[in-house]
Amino acid sequence: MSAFDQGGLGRFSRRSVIAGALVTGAGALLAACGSGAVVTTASSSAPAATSASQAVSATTAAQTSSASASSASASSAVASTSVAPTSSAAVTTAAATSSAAATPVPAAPGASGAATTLTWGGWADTVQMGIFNDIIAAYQKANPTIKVNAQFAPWSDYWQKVQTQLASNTAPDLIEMSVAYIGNFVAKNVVLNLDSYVQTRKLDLGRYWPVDVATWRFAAGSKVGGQGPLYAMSYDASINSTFFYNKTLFDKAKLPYPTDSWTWEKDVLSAAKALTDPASQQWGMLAPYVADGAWTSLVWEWGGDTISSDYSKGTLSQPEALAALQFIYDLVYTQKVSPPPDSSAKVPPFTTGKFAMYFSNCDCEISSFKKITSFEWDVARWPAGPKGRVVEMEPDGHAITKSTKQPDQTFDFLKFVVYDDDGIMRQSTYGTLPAVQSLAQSDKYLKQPGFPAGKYLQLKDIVEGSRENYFGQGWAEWEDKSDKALQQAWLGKKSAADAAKDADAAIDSVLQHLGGSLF
Amino acid sequence: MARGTLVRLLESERITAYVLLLPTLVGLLLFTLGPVVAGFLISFTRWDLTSAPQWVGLANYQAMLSQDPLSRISLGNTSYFVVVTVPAGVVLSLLIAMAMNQKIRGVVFYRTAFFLPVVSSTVAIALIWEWLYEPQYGLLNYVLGMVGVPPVRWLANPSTAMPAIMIVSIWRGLGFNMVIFLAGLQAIPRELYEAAEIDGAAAFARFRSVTIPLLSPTIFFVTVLSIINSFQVFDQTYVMTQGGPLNATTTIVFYIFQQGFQWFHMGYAAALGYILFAVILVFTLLQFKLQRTWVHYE
Repeated sequence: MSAFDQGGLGRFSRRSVIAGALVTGAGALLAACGSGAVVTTASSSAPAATSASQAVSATTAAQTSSASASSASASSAVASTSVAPTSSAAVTTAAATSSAAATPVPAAPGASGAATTLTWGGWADTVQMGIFNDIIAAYQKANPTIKVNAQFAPWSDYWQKVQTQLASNTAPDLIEMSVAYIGNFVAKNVVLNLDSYVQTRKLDLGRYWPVDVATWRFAAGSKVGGQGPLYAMSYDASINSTFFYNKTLFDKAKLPYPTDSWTWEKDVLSAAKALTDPASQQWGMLAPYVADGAWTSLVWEWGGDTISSDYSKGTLSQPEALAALQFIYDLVYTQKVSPPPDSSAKVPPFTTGKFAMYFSNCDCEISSFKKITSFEWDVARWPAGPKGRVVEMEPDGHAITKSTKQPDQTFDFLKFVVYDDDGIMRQSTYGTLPAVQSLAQSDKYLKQPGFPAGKYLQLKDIVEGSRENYFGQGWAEWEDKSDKALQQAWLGKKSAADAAKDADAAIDSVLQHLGGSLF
Repeated sequence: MARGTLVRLLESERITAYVLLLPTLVGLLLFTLGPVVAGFLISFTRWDLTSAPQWVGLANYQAMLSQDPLSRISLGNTSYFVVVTVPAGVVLSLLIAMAMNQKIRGVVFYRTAFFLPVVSSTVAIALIWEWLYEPQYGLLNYVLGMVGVPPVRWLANPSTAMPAIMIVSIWRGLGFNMVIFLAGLQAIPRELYEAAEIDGAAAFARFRSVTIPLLSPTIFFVTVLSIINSFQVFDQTYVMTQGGPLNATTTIVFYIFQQGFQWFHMGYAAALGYILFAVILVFTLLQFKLQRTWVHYE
């Protein structure tokens, strides 16, 4: 997953969180009791409203159209081309506008004069925010009648925000989507099936890495993706497991740079020992103790797994997985080549130049490491474990919400963001691998200013040995709880074996409660 | 006669009062009482915010007591926070208020300085303290380093994270309590001090026999408010630690937030909210019962 902004903007004050929870609760509960469907609250009030402006403010949903009085007939034209089948409320509103207010202004012929406003929600750090705004500016320049409003939030806040917006029927037209959440969103029936749009516009899905299409396909009722209708489209194939190294420190120690054949137990460990120097507070590495790409990958490379394949229980305390976790523990407490993790560091530790190797869980960190001037660095291939190399990857994409009033215009924008060369290349400055194969392999991408020379190595990972995590219902919760349990070991409070047992217990309790009567 | 009643009704102050109260009353009913009732009902459901809620009876409350270790951990952390920050906050702010009650040069400046954190946003304060605590570049470790103390990872170490947050909370609350104490102190008649002085009472005796008894209603008020506020601590942990490391700073309100808005267990979160409500209610009632023994009203 991209863009963790833990320091984040605390957008919620204590009171507003509680009040918000309870107010949303009250509204939605009443609506649910009244009609059986939560989503009817906003639209049901629209027909009753007497004036157009009231109707517009009543349906605060991210909708376009009839807000500007000048485009009365134009907006009804929009309604007839794209909105008509679904939204009776919007049609009523448009009609009210044309009869009540807009007669003096001659409307432009056809829909061309209508300014359409799309809303786009995404998770973003400051770098990603700049990229989104750049994409929007480029699109608006090419399409002067379209205005795109972006709503950004840091990763963890974003999912709270979107799900709350969906519940109150105010979700953006286009939402950034992660493989970690697509299953939940499809199950809740809130994202649009994109197949017909892809067909109408004759898009070639063969442009993408296969995984970047398969991830977003879900058959009806299936908990796991892979086949069925398409519910989102990728902009990248983010390689989570990313091995950064400090070339300057390797040069100083006269050590050879990491190669394709490096293994954890032999090459990584011996290099780390040679590069650790307590006197100058220099460490051989930041051990692979972060979730979702680092310790998960080692568990797989040792032949273990996080949870059982039937999605029923945690398997981190099984011998293979435990051996991997023990190896990480030993890097910190036996070999002493890495400090324990520091959740309070406000500056990414690798950028201080005191760590020779850094095993990260996101290739997107390239975007912030580009600014490093005090030392040379590069990306090497992720090291292999006893059972070979397994790299965790994770496509990120965008989905269209079912509540959108303008699916066609939204899809056109989506196409620019995730399909057209221009959009994809603007996104790719973030560092993650583009979803379109030809662009990912192009010099235009690989040789951009500030990019590490070794970036191309990750192309091999996506073809040869990468996999996704188990994302499904309850993922956000068991991922958080198991990671916290393992941190007991990384912080030296418990042995790896005990922490792994705790992690399994936490995973078990979450998975067992899925679909049950609890919580 | 009907007309007479109407006129009397319109002229009566009672009507005017209700009309003036109406906006607040509507707000109270709609945005406070409504959610309170809804939250109570939601606490008996299983609800993920997007699909329809299912009635599960007391299951949420049972799970909390028997299965969920985090509910106990978060209540424990919150109690720890309350037990330290309330007495420390009350005593410190009383001392500062007494200092600020003296005729010292620049007293207005000091009062403003102590009150400033109260009118600042907690989030901004927490972000700044996060930098003060930063292990590598933080001011605190820099100062400690000058006297030879090795860097401390304040917010990353489970045993120092909570105390670090307590310090921020106490510091932030000082000014508000100070202002209330200051008002209380200035309401104590000077004659009483003069009389005590003539009777030969030393400074500490004056403090114990005049200040404390006459200030006891203020102390009571400040303590009740501090306890209620401390039980609801959220902003600091949300911004500075996200409940970590190892749940060391997972307070009950943070946990409610996590259950409700990160894991979307609205029913369970509502049930936790009601437990918190019950705890605060019991503490407050207890204080009102105990006040008879030590609070003196003139």
